[in-house]
Amino acid sequence: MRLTKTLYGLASAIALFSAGQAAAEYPERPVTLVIGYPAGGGTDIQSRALVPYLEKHLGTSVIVENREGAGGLIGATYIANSKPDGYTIGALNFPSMYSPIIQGNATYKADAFTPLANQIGGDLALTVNKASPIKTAKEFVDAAKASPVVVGVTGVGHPSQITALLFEDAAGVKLNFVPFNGGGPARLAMLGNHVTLGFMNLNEVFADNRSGALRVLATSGAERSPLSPDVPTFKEAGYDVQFSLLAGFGAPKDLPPEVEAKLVDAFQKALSDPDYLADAKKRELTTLPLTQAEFSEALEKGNANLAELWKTKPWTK
Amino acid sequence: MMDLLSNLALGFGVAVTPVNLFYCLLGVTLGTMIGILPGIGPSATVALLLPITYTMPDTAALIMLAGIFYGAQYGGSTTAILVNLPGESSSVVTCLDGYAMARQGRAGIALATAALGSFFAGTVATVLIVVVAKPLSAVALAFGPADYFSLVIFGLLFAVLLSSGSPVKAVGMVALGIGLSLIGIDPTSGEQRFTFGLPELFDGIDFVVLAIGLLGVSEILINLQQGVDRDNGLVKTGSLMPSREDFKQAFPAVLRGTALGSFLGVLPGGGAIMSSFASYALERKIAKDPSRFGKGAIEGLAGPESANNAGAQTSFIPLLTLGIPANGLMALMVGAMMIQGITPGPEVMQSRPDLFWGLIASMWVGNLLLLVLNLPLIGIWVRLLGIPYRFLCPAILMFCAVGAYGLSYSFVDVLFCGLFGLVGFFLRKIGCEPAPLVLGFVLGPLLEQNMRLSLLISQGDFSTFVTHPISATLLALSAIVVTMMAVPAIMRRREVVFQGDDD
Amino acid sequence: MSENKSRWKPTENMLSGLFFIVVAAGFYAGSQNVSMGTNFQPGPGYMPTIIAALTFCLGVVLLAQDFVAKSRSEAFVMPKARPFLAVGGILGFALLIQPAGFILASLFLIVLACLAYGRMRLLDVALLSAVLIGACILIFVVGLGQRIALLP
Repeated sequence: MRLTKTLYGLASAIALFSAGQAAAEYPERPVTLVIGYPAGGGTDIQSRALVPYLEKHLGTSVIVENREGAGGLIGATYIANSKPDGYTIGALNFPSMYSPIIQGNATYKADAFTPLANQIGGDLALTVNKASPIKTAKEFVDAAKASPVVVGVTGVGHPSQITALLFEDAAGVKLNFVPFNGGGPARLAMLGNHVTLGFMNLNEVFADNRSGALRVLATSGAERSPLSPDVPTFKEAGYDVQFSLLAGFGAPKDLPPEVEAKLVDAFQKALSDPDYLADAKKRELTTLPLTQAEFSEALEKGNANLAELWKTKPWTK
Repeated sequence: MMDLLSNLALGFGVAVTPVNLFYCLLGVTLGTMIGILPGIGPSATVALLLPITYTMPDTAALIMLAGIFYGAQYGGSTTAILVNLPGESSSVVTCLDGYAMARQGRAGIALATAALGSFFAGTVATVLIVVVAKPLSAVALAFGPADYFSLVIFGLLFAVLLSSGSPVKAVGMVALGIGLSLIGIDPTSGEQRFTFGLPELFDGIDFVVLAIGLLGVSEILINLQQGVDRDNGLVKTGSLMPSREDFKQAFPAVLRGTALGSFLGVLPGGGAIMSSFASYALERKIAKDPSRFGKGAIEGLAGPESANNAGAQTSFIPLLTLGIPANGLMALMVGAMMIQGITPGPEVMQSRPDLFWGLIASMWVGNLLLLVLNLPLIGIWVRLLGIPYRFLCPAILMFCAVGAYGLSYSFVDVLFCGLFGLVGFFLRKIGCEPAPLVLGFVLGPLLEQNMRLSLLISQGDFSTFVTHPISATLLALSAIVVTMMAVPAIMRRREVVFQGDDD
Repeated sequence: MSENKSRWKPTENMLSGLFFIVVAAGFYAGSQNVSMGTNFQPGPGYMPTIIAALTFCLGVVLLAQDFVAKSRSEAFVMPKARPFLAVGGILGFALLIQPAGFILASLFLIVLACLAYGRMRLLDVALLSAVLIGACILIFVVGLGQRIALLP
């Protein structure tokens, strides 16, 4: 069941709490971390893995709240409209929380968030069913040039589709997209060979690549992913495509400077905590720790690239 | 065979350790409770409890979460039977004859039948998971978008069959339900439809809001209209346990429901939803006197209740054997496994046999606990119906409103709940039953998405629906059903008799 | 039509026919904002248009049944107004819950529900409100930990 929409409810409760409490040392009560994705999803699991260490370095408890729906849009809207007092922060994913701005579905702008730090980088994977004769990215391109091919992606405007659009340009091919409703259904259709070719989230198919049910031909990161060390990157395969999704944290804009400094510091310490790093390694998380400045720059660059791509290939039209 | 027995022994050994037994009991108790309350459902509860499982032993965590899921299936039928409030999509059908039975003073029998039927179905489905999980999981992979499309078409025909009034109106209600389900951001294109720019509508209307309004609130309006002098409560309380006669009627339906539910439950994305009303339609079709349906036919309760419980159990199969979640709740189970550092998939059976078989054995243990828990409660539930309606009516309305609000703290949900109550009332006044609408609403997104996906995959070739063998078979079956419905003689009698006495 | 002594008494089928036509118009209008797509690539407007066409046809069939055929469906009975206060209670609850808090919103709902029912003693209403609000707070706020503000 979907947990639906909306923003107002909690805002009023929080406002109620915070009324009349000013200016003492931040943080003096629990901080709410809003995750715009369902409990048990990828973002949720990796964020929660960090939470204990964040609590340790922030010196207060952090309450995770899942406000899922509309591919992260509900949660992003909620964060954007929250009071910038440092007591509401949220998981900030690129591109899924930024592409609705370009697509015209979002009520917030890109500058509605203060990025704090990045935690995870995710690569996308060109994937085929084991029954396919295609063994390399080159053979994939040859096939696409010979006749139109149908390619599954995890959803409209999802990182998988963005990567595929970039790949179209780099390889000079035209692909026919089948946007599924999320990574799960897309993977199911690929396992059943109802679509043979697809761009998928690497973290959702690396296990199938290991077991041999699916074959990952190339990944989209700057370097090979530890999840699939035998698979070349697109660049290694000869195609100038590099795209990674970022999963970090942010707050509503206009945070008081001392609150912002405290949050940035706490995230930095949490992300380099050796216990966290050991835990992340055990869970096979693809960590990509970025400082506030690096994260902001990556987001800015990413948004500019998205806007550029939208001009030539508007994916929802 | 020896393997199987030793596996089962291992499983039960794990399942009956005091810790696991405790978490199983906790899960099913919690599941029953939230199943009874309108609004908050098993998915929300599991989502709420997921963080707690971080610190729990992995087997115990999964046993508890699974218990919440199938416990809610038991509890969900309680309010459907007592006050026409379905908490879950599977209990929409339970309302039809279960509520009718309650109004005849047979609420106790209805509740007992639901519990016993569910237990039987749960037992059979657990055995199925043990014996044929592997081959059944192939079914999950065999269904592609085209096949799902045809399955949904077939299912929607059931929805029409299920109504007791005019088939024209039933088709219209299904269509309206599909239309309402399209509200929100379209997943295939990312564009907004019928949202009026309201962020509250981006994710569509929640099933619970629609069902509470259309069925629960409208029922209260109907009751209030029909005169308010029933100060003695809704009904007299009759016998609590089914008689031999009831048993004889219900048991074959339970068997058929179990078979249907076990099979459909395996299909990811919507199979289990269809099982309960497929079973209802089947029972009605083969009954000697279909006119009894909707008026308290025990088969119309026993079949679907067994089907939905069997389906709930077998929906674990694709998760356990392939790592594919069959529905939103199974996706949460995937999350629960990942939290524990287990990647769901075929290798779990080899790498963690204790967890795998322990979880399966716990399902049977859980079903037994549920039966023990639920049978004594029946007396209490039935007595609730004896509360004067002047107290019961505000109480039900209150639970509807709080349930709708608690979904996501959105007052818009409550507004819609009230409006759907009004719409449901007028629809019933003009002879349109809301149940087919609710089913159209549940299946609408599946229909649309799979149609579009199939056409995208086939490059716009409509023949994809007949070249896939599963799809072709389902469409052929649908055509046969339509022909049967469209035979003019049947049509005429249907309209004249008005209650669909087409026997 | 005129030989009927209650000339414009609408029947169930007429009203449902009209209802479906209105629904069809709604879906048709709504689908105009989004692209219809092609059979090759059905767009977001594809299904709503099919739904609109289908409900329109059904509406016409229902109207035709009662205007053309001899046997009419049952006449529509005008409902009493009082029970609708119950819906008013729910709508009021929706509008009050955020500005006024759970307790006041619930009070409003319960009082309107009692009015919808009819004769009720003030003492009953007061008792019922206390029990219900208390029970709901215990179950939903304390038990399930839902974050609902109780007071304004």
